[in-house]
Amino acid sequence: MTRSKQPQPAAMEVRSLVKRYGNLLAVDRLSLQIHHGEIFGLLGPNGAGKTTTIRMMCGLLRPTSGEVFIRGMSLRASRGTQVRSRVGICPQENILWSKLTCLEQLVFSARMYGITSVLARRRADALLCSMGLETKRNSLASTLSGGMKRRMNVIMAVMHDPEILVFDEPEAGLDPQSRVLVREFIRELSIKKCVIITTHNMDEADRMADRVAIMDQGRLLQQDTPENLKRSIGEGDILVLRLSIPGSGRLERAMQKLSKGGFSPSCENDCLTIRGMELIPRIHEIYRLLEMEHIRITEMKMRVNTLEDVFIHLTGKSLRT
Amino acid sequence: MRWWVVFIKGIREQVRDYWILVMIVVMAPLFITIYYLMEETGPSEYHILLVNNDRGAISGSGMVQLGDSLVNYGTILSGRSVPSLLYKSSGSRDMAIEELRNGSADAVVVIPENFTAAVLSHATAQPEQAMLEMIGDVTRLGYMIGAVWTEELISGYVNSLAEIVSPVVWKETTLGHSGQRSDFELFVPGLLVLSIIMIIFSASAAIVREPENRTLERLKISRLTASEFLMGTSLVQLIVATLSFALALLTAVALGYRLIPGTLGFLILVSFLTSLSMISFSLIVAAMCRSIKEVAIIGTFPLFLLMFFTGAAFPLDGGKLFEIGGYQVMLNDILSPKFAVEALNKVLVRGQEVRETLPELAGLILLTLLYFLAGTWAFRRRHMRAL
Repeated sequence: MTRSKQPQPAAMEVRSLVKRYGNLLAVDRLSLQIHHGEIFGLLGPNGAGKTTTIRMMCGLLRPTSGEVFIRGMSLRASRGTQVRSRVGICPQENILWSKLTCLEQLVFSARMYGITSVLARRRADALLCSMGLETKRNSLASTLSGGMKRRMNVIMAVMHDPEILVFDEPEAGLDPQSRVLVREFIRELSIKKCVIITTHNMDEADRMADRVAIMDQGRLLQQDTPENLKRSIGEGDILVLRLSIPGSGRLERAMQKLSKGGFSPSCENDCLTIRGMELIPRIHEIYRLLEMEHIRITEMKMRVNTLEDVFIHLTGKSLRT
Repeated sequence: MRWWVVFIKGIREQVRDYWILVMIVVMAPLFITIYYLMEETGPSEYHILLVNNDRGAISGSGMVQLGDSLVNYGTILSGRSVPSLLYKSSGSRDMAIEELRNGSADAVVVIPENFTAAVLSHATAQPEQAMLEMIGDVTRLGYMIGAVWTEELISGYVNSLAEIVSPVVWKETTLGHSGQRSDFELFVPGLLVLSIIMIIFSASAAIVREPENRTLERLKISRLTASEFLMGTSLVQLIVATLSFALALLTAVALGYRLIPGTLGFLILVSFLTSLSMISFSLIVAAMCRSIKEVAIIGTFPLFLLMFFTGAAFPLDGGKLFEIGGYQVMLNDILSPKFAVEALNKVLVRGQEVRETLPELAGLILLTLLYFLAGTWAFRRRHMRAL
């Protein structure tokens, strides 16, 4: 007897999601599939539609059109809290009951999902320890510092042990020690769960996310692994030179010579960026070409492509209004 | 039992946010104390001054002074009538007017010089008339009541002196317990209802606090239903209302309010129904507001209506709209505390049976249901709407 193996539905899938506020199109036909055991990063400038998207993913906001599926079940069709409770959200702002202690609100939150009091207390104690908040167990949330509130906000999302976790800017407002703690915590969660994070911090996304989607003006621009995304805008090294240029026309001539020499130069103000494979052995060649035009190098940096380069490449440098 | 967990959380928050709780609970006893200080205590007393200018007159048996006799009659009657009229002799018209001005007397009666002569002349061929002067401030309730009753007493006495048999006599029958109640006590039923109306702020604030702090978002994605949330939150406010009512009643009793034996159960029933009604009304207020600040601003308007247009703060004619089957539909019939005040007045003031308050209790229940349905619908639509 042969058994055909059914493909597992994505932990979360959004299909042609649209959210419109009057004339403003906040999310424009967004489709994503996020799988169990992965950390999915949602990047985009301010106003790109990230928060609107995750609010729709969690069932906090009704989409204008399109569907959200959790393990193949439509959030809209089910209308059920059962499906919705498979998602845990850590919002960008710290959302805590200020007049409840840390323990009380964790237990209260868990009990809203039908978890018994005993289990909720046990889980709350473990989570408070994991976030270094065990001494604040009986302190009112209003008395916690900003960083502590942020850490509480993170563990509130996981109290009911959801399959899908959504973290909106999880590292915002944290000191370096807390950032490491939260990062490790999320990474550990991703082993067994589907984790979605939104962030402005490209470093954070690069370090944590298995896949990244870049949004702008409500649209999905690109999604792939961070490595593939970085590769998509050019491989090799990036040499960034700050220059002292003695006269007009010299830089343009130097750039022509560099292009003829097989480099990809670009310039902004007094900053020259050169892309190319294996740049380190060829630095002296670049130095010589610039010296021929009496251009002096005042600062030199060598790096590889980052997600920020991809982000700027896709979304541009202009500020969003 | 998620509503129970919400209830426990609500109790904790309410106790820890004790300033709001204290202010709500203390407000009603404060109102009762203010009314107590405004009104006189004990059955109402009216101070009447008698200025006797009567010179007397010679009759067959010698010199007769009927003016003195009238003053003595008044002194003997003092405090024995309902309402209580206290008569006192005053040396002169000017001295009596001075006492009127400083508020220590309500009315002054000046007995003229020819008082005895006029009374004695009644049976003669040329009867004389004596002009009794009544002096007082017509803007004062004390003057009006004192003057009416004094005129009645003096007329009766003079008739008996002149041996005139009046074809009519007056008998006053006070409705229920109203005759034995002080002015302050007459206000107490309304003020007890007012103590419950006060919870509109705390109930609306307790509900609005969740969307304002965005903690409602956590609840919206949990398995908690809107009904469970509202039930748990309302139960906390029911306790606040009960506390407020109990404190108001205790304050009233401490200040001399006499509770009629056997009416405590009825009082508790009316307070319970009114509390449910005001909590339901708070849902409507909460649905209109996004923050506690908005509750403080927007909530003032319905609070004002409920305080002053239901008879809670003072008796008020509701303004007749139309009549159906003999029942006058009033403008304030849409405000449930009106029925609570009316029910309490029927039993505690007019001495009616509890069963006679069934129309008021039915009105109270019906409006509570309407408020609840409108409030939950509006709250769900405004704050709990998601997928």
